[in-house]
Parts: sequence; structure tokens; C-alpha cells
Amino acid sequence: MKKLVGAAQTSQTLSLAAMEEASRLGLREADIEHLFLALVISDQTAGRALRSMGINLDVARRAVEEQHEAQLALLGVDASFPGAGRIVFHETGGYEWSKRAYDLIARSGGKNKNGDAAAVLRELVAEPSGLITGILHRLGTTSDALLEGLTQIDELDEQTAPTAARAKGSVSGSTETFVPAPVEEVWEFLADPTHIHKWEMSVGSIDHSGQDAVLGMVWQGHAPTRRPDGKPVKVRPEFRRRSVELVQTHRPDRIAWRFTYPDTSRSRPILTEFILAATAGGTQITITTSWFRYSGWRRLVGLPLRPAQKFLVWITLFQTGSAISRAFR
Amino acid sequence: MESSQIATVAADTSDPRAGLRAVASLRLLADTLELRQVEAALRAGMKWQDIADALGVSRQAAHKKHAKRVDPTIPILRRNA
Repeated sequence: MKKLVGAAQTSQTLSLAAMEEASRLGLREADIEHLFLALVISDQTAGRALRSMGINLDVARRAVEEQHEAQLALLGVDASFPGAGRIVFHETGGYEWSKRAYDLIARSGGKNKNGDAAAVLRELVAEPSGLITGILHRLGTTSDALLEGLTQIDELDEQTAPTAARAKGSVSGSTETFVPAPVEEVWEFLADPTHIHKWEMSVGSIDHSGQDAVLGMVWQGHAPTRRPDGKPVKVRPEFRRRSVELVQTHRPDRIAWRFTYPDTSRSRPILTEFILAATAGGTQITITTSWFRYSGWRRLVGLPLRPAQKFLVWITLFQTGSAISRAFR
Repeated sequence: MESSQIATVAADTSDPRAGLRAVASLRLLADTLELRQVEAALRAGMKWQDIADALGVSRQAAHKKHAKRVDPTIPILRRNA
């Protein structure tokens, strides 16, 4: 079961990153080169192995582009791909995997394979078209060197990630995400209330008078009125206003925000905590979200819904994590 | 590159494996350009039928391939779309 959940989460994370990469190139089908780029920014050992070999996102994107252009030149076609734009995945639709990329991810979770990003990377470097080999060659490495680096990192990976302290009676969920930017820059981003709407989906805008963020300060947020793709969102009146309080700040590695709905007594405050750590090629963020459980009959009613709740927490954390990462790509 | 040179290189089939991979890149370029042109056509107010005619495919085929993929903020004429 654990493997199944892990493999599902890995494939979800890689799919999003790969499709985001495809989206900035004006494509709606993610193929193996986009999967490669997704692995470069993976928070798992596969990403660390690639980045510790000097393969960061910018370098990898350039190698993919150059590989395609060199191949076009080989055919005698003197054309270049349109310049890449920003990521528009969340504003557009119709995305899918290419057949070969889809099959490759499915194989990485097969028998005797654990479906994590490292398993996907192992499958990827063995893909038969030669495209990935060509890209790796451009990056000054080979499949074998990469696999060796991966094995070394896997062996070293005994350390456990820091986690936020958990209060008794609270529900919490935690996720890891990689951001291709230095810790200090990521901290600045997370500590700025005017950026909250970029990573917290329930906030569309924040009233901000330009003051510096200090501990205990509260801002008023408003629910988004439109989805990223432009469609209107219906929000019940009591959930339209949101208070956001800065409850913990420790430059450059910790920051926490508390979200409440001031117009309803039925909702509990939610704490979102970020722990930042430098890692190869950027920052590893541990995001923890927690809130206090209801007591009494509401708790009993909620019991059968726990698995659904767990999934929902993961989805929310996943969206927050990927939105932060996207802001730096 | 001179046009005569293009023809020489393009006709080079001495390494078919590399040549085939290159064709896949060409297809990727065509896909990228196709979506951009379809979006530009819709922005210019063209109907799906006109787009399909220009692409040389049926209206259904053009719509099926692109309707979900195009920028959703483009106002698309629904009638006879």
C-alpha cells in the first residue's frame, strides 16, 4: 500500500512538473524530455543526483532545446522552436502524456521496482529512442555516470527531513517540495504577504498597505473570484473574507502563517508552516499544515471521513508546494 | 544555408537512426506551430470550419484535437463553431 501511494504521489508530482514544462513551450503533450526536466526539479533523490552533477533546470532546458534544434539541422531544416514563455499549465487544458512517457512511468512502478522518482529516472535513461542519451551527452554525462551518482545519493540518503512540532489533538499533513532558487530568496517570497495568493489557493488577493511583515500582524485576504483559466468561482459569503496572521518567522529557514475565516465560527484556524533547507541547486521546503480537530459528536461524525481528509490534505499541500516552485520557474 | 545545401543534407540517409529521431523533432516543431496558428486563427475570429479547411482536415478532427488545448480566454463563436 505504501509503495502504491508513494508511486501515485511521485507520478502526480512528475506529471505536473512535466506538463508545466511542456506548457511553457506551447505544447499540450508532455514527452520524455519534459519528464527529464521534471526529474531535475524533483525533491527526491533523483533530482538531487541530477543537480549535484551540475544539471540544474536552466542547463537542462537549454540542452533539450539544443538537442531538438541539432536534430532539425540534421534533416536540413533551418528553423528554430518558438521562444519559451511562462508556465500556463494552470490556465489552460487538454494536457496528456505521450504514449511512451506514460508507459515508462507505468513500468517504473512495476514488479520489483518501487515507483519513486529514482525508478523513473532509471527507466528514462534506458529509453530506446536515444533522445535522452543525446541530451545527457550535451550535458557532459552518460547514463552510466548518472546511475552511479544516483546509487551513491540513495545510499547517503539516511537523513530524515525536519518536521514541524505537532500539537496534541491536531490534524496535520506534511510534504516536501524543491524550489530552484536560493533559500534566502525563497524565504523572502514566503514572508511577503503580497505573494500569499500565489501559493494559497483560497486567497485571491490581500489588502496590503505596504508595511513590513512583523510577527503577529494580521492581513485581510479575499477569496478568488475567478479561476486561473478565467472561469468565475462561486464562494459562500461567510467564506469570502480570510484573515492571515504571521505567527512564526525565523530568517531564513522558518516561517508560518495562520489562516482563519473571520465571518464564520464553524471553521477552525489552519496553520501553514514552512521549513527551508539548502539542497543541491536550490531549496528543499517542508510544508506542514495543521488544525485542531473538533471535539464531541463532530469528531465521531468525521471519523469515517479520515482517509478522504488525508487525501485532501495531501492535495492541498501538493498545490501549495507546486505553486511556490512554479513562482521560481 | 543555401537551398541546394538543404536538399543535400535532407537527402542524407546515411544515418537513419539519427534521421528518424530528427523527424520526431520536426513533428514536435509542427505540433508547436499548429497550436499557435490555431490560437491565432481563433483570436482573429476564424471558425473551426475555416481552420479545418486550411489544415486540410475535417472540422470534427480539428475541433477534437484543439478545442480543449487552446487558450480558454479566447472568445470562440459557438454558432456553427
